[in-house]
Amino acid sequence: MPETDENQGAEKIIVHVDSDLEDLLPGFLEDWKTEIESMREALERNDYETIRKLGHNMKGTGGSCGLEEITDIGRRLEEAAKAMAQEAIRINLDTLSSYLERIELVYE
Amino acid sequence: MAGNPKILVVEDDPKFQKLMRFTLEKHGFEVTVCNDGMEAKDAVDHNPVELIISDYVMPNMDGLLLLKTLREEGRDTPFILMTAHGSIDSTMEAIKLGTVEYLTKPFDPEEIVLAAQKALNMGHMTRELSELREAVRAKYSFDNLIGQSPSMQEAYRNIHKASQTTANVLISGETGTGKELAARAIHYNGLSKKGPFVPMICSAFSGGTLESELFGHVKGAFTDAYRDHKGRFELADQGTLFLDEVGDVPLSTQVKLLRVLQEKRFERVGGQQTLHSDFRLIAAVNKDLKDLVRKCLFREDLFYRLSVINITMPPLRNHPEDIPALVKHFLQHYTRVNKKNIKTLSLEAMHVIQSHPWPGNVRQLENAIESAVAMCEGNMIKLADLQLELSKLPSETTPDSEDYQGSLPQVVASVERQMIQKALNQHEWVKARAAKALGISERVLSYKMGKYGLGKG
Repeated sequence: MPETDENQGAEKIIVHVDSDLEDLLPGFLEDWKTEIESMREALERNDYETIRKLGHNMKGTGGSCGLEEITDIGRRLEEAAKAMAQEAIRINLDTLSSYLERIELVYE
Repeated sequence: MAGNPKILVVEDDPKFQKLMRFTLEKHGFEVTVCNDGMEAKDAVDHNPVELIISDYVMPNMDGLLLLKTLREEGRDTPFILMTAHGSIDSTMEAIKLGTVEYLTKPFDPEEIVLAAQKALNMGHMTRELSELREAVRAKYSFDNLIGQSPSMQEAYRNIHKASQTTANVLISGETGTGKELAARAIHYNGLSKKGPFVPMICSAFSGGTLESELFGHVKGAFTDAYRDHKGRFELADQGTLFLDEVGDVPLSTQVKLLRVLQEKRFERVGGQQTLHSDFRLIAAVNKDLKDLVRKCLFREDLFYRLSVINITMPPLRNHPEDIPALVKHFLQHYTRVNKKNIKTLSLEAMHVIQSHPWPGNVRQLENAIESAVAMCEGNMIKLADLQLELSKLPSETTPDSEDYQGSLPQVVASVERQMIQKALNQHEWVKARAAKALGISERVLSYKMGKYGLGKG
């Protein structure tokens, strides 16, 4: 798949997180990957509310799990959805996708 | 509540729900999750919780509306509001509605644990406080005022009337007749019950100290005034100030007292600033205040200002018919407090109690029963358990010949006069009853009263 090819050989992002979250975070990462697809589909049909809502949730949950980058991307997605800025949404979804492919969690 | 504290999490983001549940359960809380305010309202209606942690922005009913709805229904469940917005308006409104904590997302999950513990502690304290308030109210409720005698019934009627107003009250009565108990009953059943009850015994302070206690003082007002000090008038704001033994207030302070009663305004000793306090005043005296007015030792204008409502607590010797009920009440109370199993008193002990003069009134009777309960080893209080000085009991009086001077007829006359005087006092000067108690006819009693010059007042 092209997305995977693009990320092959890309630098890993190592994030140190609380070992207490070991049972939760792998599932969250998978959920966010699924949400990228949902948001891309929403963008196709100009459903900005779905994107705003999912971005808003990412903003709250990401940093609370120690993933500040997710909070930042979530905030940008929420703002872009409010402004109906299609290009900005696409860029941020790509950034999110790349981040989720490269992230490697270290529990401590 | 027994078991783990129950927390309701209201949140529409499934991942944040999981994070909250996971974190809180790990710390021993029992967690229920709802998706929005409507669902949460329904859940707490059926299963009360000890704490609600709610998101602000949610579909159907948001967090602030949920909080508002619960408070309007009189539910004071501690509430923590979470939001990713952090707008000043919503924060202010949430605080006004009594939110314990306001957390802005994202936050470290440990923060929610600390906030939950703090909120639960505050919830426990609030509950304890309201239970204690209820217990104090119950302690001083009208039901606990004992006595069926006409004089006590009249006192209760006046106490009840006084509790329904904010007028100043003057309670008169000998020491131990329950003046402070009456004042507390007025306060805790009255319009100022949510404010403090501030008691003060005026005779315990000398002139300068008395004013400092009443009005407060500012730092440097006198040698020992190292810091500002709030006076009793200030402390009693929104509540009741009880001034016991008000007859002992010196004339120089009485004029200042009068001003505060008229204007509810005063200055601290050494201070310039005029302070205002909205207090209700109850004063008490164990001497005849009118007599002090006649002797110019108490200001007449202050007397009238204090005695808008007059209540007299009668001495126990004037209502001996209440003694059995009082004994029963104190016996039950101290048996419970001392975890004993005392059911009753011997007839002999009861007889001695009923014929004792009780110069210290109900308080002395209470102390005697408390002491007897402590001494008693069985399940019945006997004469030996009573710590009364038997030599002072009229029924047991066997005067030492050294106690009396004069001839036998003179001593007999003296004892006879004393017994008649006591019987008349005990029976409120109703001659028929006094005569019956003395075992003589009413005609003989009248004759002897004339002989000894005994007349009421």
